[in-house]
Amino acid sequence: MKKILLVCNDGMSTGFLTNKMNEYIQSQGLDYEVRAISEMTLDREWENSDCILLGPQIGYLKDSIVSRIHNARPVEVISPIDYGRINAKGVVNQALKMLGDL
Amino acid sequence: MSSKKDLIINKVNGIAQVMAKQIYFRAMRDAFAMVVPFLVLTGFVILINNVVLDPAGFMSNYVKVETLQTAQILGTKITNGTMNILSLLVVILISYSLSVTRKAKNVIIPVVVAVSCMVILMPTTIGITPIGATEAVEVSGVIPFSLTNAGGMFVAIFTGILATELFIKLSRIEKLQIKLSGNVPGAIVSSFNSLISVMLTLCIFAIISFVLVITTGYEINEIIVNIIQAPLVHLTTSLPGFLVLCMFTNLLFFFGIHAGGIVNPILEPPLLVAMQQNVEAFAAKATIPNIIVLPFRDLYGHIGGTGSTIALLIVIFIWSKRREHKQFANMVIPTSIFNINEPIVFGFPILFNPFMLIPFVFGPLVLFVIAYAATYLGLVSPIVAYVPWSVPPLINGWLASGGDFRNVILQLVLIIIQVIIYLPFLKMYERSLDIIDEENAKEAIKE
Repeated sequence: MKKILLVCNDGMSTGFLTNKMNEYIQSQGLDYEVRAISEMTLDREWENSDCILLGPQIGYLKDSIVSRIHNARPVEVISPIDYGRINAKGVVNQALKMLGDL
Repeated sequence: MSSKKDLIINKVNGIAQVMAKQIYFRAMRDAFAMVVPFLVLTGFVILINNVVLDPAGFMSNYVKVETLQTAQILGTKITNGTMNILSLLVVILISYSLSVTRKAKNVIIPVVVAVSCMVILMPTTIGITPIGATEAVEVSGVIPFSLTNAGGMFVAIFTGILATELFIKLSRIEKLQIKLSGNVPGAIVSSFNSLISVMLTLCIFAIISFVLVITTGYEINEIIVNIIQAPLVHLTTSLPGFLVLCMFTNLLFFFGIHAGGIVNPILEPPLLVAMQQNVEAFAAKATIPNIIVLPFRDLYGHIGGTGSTIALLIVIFIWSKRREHKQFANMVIPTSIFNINEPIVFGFPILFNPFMLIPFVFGPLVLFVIAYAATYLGLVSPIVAYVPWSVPPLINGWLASGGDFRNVILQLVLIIIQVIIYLPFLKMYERSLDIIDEENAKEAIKE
């Protein structure tokens, strides 16, 4: 199972999106796991993931996060509109593209 | 138009990046996030001890005063282990976070070095007033809570940063490492490796502290408290200083950037110190010293999240003429109740929406002024208990005020005011959307 990591300031606002994404993944019979974490815990969590999506409110940290994980995982910022509208399908598709599965 | 927008985004992002790279800000932010459970427990215990178990309160009608006083001991034990050693917890957490960022080989060593340095900086004799006495006596061999509670916050921040940095720098100098040869267990090797750098760090702190006392007559604690902590607390708890910092928070979020790593490291430590001053005064039944403390922001200006967007949702439910706005508002209620409003900022959107700039950025500043005046005039209680930002509105007002319903009424009034502030701007925004829709429809007909 591939693991998708959502990162935001406190891991709280992405938490809601995470639930919706996991529901969507189950309904589609896909084999992925989505987790939300706080940016603070990224350093000990990133190795246990296959791709990393950032909440747009910490999008400005993308460069520093890429270097913190030594560019070892693909990192993208979630599209603000998908994020705001809690568009689980859109964000799952974004992750699948990053993983090369779509 | 869009190139101008991109330019602004790049500028703001650039500034935010520079600020976020400040690893000391990161360390402080992480430390204050990890200390929250201790603060929340303190808040609960203070409320129970001083409202429910108050020997002069309503419970004294049912229970003997002595029994209430005995029951308070339980809470006092808890406040001793949380609020009263807050600075010790902070020095540990800052040093830990910084050591992890600096990739120290054995993180626990810089952490204990920092704790050690913090105690080294403390005065060797303390003036203490015994219970029942009027005059202070000088004693040695004790650490009073006044040095380890929030009063020592900035000493903890400075020691946590400086001691850790100094130790890590020294421990990376090859010549200072003692190499053991032969078959020696790893733990012993690493403790010998850092032997000289540990001793040097402690001695440097001791010498600086000693020289300062000898030459100036002031302890380093007093210097840090008087030159840094007191002015910062004064700045952030004064209405103008607080308003300016909160305006930056709102403005950053308008640009889609969370203020967590940028404004909060400046705003939050002094406001936590102010919070603890209030808690201590409340426990001692003294006059509450500060109107603006950390939860003041969350209670009165971040109702439903930054920009008090709960009011925007109410405006949409009652007055919006657009179906998609009503559907959207329905969807984001669950997160808004817990003051999480990223969905509103990015989805409505508030982000770069010129119609939302004024109500989102400046509306909450109006609310702060009103809440400040209401507290100043004694119409509501000052904030005496720490409540984390994610506690739902109205409940947080009741808890933070020590159970005063007038504060909840104030919050309701503030929501109504913010509704009035959002209303005309939502109308204008929807009118502009209508015009765009009409033009699109016309073009569709032409084609």
